[in-house]
Amino acid sequence: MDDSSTLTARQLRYNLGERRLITDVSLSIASGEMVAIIGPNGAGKSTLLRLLTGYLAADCGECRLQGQLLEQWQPQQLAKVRAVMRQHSELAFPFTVEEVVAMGRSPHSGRDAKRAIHQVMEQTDCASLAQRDYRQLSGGEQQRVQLARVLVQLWQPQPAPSWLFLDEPTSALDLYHQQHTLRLLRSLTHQQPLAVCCVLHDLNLAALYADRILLMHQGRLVASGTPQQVLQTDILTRWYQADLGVTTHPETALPQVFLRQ
Amino acid sequence: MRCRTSPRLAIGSLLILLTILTLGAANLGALTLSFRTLWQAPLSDASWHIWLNIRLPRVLLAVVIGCALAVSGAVMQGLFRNPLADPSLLGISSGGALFVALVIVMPLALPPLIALYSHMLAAFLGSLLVSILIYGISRSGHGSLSRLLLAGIAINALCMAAIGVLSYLSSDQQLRQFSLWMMGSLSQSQWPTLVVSASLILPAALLTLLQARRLNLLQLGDEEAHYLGVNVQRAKLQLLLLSALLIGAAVAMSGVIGFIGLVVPHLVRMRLGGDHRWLLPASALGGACLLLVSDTLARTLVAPAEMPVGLMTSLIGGPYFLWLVMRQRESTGG
Repeated sequence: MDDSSTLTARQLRYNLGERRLITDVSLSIASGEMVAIIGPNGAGKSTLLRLLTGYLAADCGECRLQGQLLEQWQPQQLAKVRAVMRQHSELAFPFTVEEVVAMGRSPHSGRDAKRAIHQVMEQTDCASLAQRDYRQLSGGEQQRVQLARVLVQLWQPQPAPSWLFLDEPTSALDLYHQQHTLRLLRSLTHQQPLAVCCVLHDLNLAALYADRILLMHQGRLVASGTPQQVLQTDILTRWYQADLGVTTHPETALPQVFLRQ
Repeated sequence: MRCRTSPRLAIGSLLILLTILTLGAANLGALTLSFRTLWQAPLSDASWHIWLNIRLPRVLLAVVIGCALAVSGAVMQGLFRNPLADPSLLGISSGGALFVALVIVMPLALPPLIALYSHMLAAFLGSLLVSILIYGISRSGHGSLSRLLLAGIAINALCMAAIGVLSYLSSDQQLRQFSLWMMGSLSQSQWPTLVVSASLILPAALLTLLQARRLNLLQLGDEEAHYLGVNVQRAKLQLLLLSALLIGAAVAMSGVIGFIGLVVPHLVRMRLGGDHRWLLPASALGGACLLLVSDTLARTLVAPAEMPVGLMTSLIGGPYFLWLVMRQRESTGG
């Protein structure tokens, strides 16, 4: 695979004291694809995300972005090609939505800031919130603003490979905005050399929008592949321990998971 | 959203206000010196001497100290991501005071100017130690507000007790020097003291302004700031150092003056929002104005006597703080 547009992790291992949080995870994410990480609670999804983004350093193994080890990247350069959105971000002080989004531009020079901010706020449906106080928004609105912030961080005048990591970006969104956000992310990965890697709890959303699904369980990567390959009744029942079934989406032939009563 | 004032306009108005207040305060006092009398009197006159060597340095010292107090308050609140984090409430000022007390009680035979810097150094070390301690506590306890304030109360009590022990041990002359300074007063202002404090406070305040953008990014959270390319540990350490330097210099010069660092940034945020690129300079100017007004009141209300300015700022700040605490409870749903 082409080194210049992939993120490759090899044999990642991470311990917290005696506890093994991540064990021997290897994977690669190429720009232009959308990858969903799924798994039961406590599977180590967020920890894996932190290793892949360079926030935590693995005890063993290595993580390379565009062929270069993550820890060798200049922080500022890394921030131009890799952005991360976490589940909640709270602010203690009055910032407007526009100010919060503009903070995403800080790794770059100010040249294209206005254009980038304007364009991204339109894309993410945040333009009407621009002058509101971030703290007074609902949880879902805050998530949209944070999405705008990370997209502004990766905005380039000329398309260049970039990586976007999201930890449950749809957890507080209503149906309309869940669909809107995931459609947006999917279309961005198709229009630009952008790779999206997101932790999703909703398996049906993962099935509809991800090109590839990684299933984690107790710190290990136990299954990976296309939605059809991973979302199978026996695999899911085994790792989630839930009484469930898998059917086919009536319009797309993609798998859809349902719980039994 | 409530209407905000244009930051440039606000800073411009504050500058004008500060200039007017400075000129006004320089004329007020036990002896009223109008510009007309100064203009008419020849240079050798005693009123010139009072104005130039007593009034002016005092007024300028109030400006410089007020600026230091407000900026360090704004930085602390930004670092702790908490509008109630004030150097005097968290015990950072009393940490500085304790170390200055130690230097006063154990006087080393130093030339006066160096002795002054040694007070500053001691106050800086004391403030820094408490800052780091409080910061460690806030990190280990998920930064909960009550924990932070309780730690502040404990540290305040400890430092005050230690200062009490020191004053018990000190000689009469030391005791006098001590109690004058502890009450929070600008009455020791002369040109050398002004120059010494300004030489520390102004560069530190300017360096703090350069960190404003990073302080903004830290508001998103440590992890978010990291992802935006900020070296979080280094940025926080630099900000703690600068803030301790500012508060240390202020404490060494004028004792513990409370509430400026709490009230001023809060008022500025209500008008200008949380952006530290505007908040820090506006707080500096606002703090200078507020301390100047408080000090002028303190030395004119009961003239020819003088009340400690720390008392004055507490009279203004105490009720305001109570109101802030009560409002905070309402907004979090009790």
